[in-house]
Amino acid sequence: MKNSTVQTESVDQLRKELSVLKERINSQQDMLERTTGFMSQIQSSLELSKQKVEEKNKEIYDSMRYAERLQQAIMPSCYEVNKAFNDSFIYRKQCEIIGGDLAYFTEAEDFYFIAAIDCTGHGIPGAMISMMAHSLLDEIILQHAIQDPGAILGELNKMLFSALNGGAGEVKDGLDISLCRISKKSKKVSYAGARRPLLHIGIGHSELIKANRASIAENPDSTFETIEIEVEGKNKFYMFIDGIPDQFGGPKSKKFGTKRLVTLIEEIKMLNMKKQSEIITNTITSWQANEP
Amino acid sequence: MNKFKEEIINTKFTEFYSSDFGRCVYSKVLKIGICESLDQYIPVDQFMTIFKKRGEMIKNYDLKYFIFDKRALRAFHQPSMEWYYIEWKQDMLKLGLKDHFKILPNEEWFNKCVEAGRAEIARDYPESLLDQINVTYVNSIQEAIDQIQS
Repeated sequence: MKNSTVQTESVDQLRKELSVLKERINSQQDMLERTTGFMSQIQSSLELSKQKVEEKNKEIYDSMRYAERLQQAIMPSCYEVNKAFNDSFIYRKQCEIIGGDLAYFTEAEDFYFIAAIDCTGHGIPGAMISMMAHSLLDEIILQHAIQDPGAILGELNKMLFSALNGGAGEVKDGLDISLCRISKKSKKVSYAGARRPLLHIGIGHSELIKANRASIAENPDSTFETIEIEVEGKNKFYMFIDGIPDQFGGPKSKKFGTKRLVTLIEEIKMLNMKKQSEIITNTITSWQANEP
Repeated sequence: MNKFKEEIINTKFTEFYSSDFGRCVYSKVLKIGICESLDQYIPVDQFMTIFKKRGEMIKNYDLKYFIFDKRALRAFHQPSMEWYYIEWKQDMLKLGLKDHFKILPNEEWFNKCVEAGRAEIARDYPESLLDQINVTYVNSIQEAIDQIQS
């Protein structure tokens, strides 16, 4: 009798345990199905988001490519510059599709005006400032007929400061520039700069002419000095922004630097400009190749 | 000694209820109630019993914070979870308990199951008062206590 009661209790206990086990397995099955469904929904949602991002990315890319065409349209062509200075080159290698690096060239009356411009900001903001800078330089030189480089930069400084700070919110953007005026009649070069120097290679001497230390549009009251250079014999002039000096690379992963660039130019100054351009391009490419 | 005991040993918690599947303790001074699951699965009837006991404990001692230590769990019954979210938690909200702390097992798959279960409840009960309840996930009871006391 006692044995029978014990056996019944054991069977009841086992039945109870079995019931809990069955309930647990059902719950786990249910968890599995729900979670699989949930993960599928997340996957579908992620795929949809990915598709939207890809579409948006393509729109932005197409828009940037179009903007690149517009920016290219305002850049001086090598043909145009070579027509004025038969031994010359423009080295331009932008890391983004559009950006704030700009070469400027125009002629007015007896002068050529040429500039290397570095606008603040990368990509779209830089490109927008560069378009403004180009337009303002045309207005100052061609419409207002201002021809003194220092005065041109003074005017550009005021106009760009006013344009950028006229709306809501203060804008801390601007540009650095190296600007030269070359006389068609006399052998005279006039230079003014805002944080960008001019390298003058004369006969038997070279000089890195320093710029004013203020950027354009930094302070509306800044003034810019014009430096007159009398040219005797065959002289060479180089204007450059911080693109090449700021390139990291080399064995110690350092910036290329202005000093190294000036040394390189001095070493190759006797070559024609086409050859110099090739050497500079190759030197920078191999410098960058060392950058991890 | 399990993690639960290790973590509360230096803090004065009093046991209110205990079974093979769960245990409830409280501190009147800290106004904290803690429930620990003791098995990998709590059957539906036991789940209801434990939570009713929890409710009594919270009401009796006017507890303001609740820590649910689920580290032992490996399976849960979704309809019970719905009841827990939609009825029990909201009953507790009426008693003034809105700060819940949870400790999940260190199992990625289990946490995904919890996330899926919560998403289903949020979808099926959009009008619930769940947004008035603060749920914080922590890694230990001590971490929850530290957050409560900070």
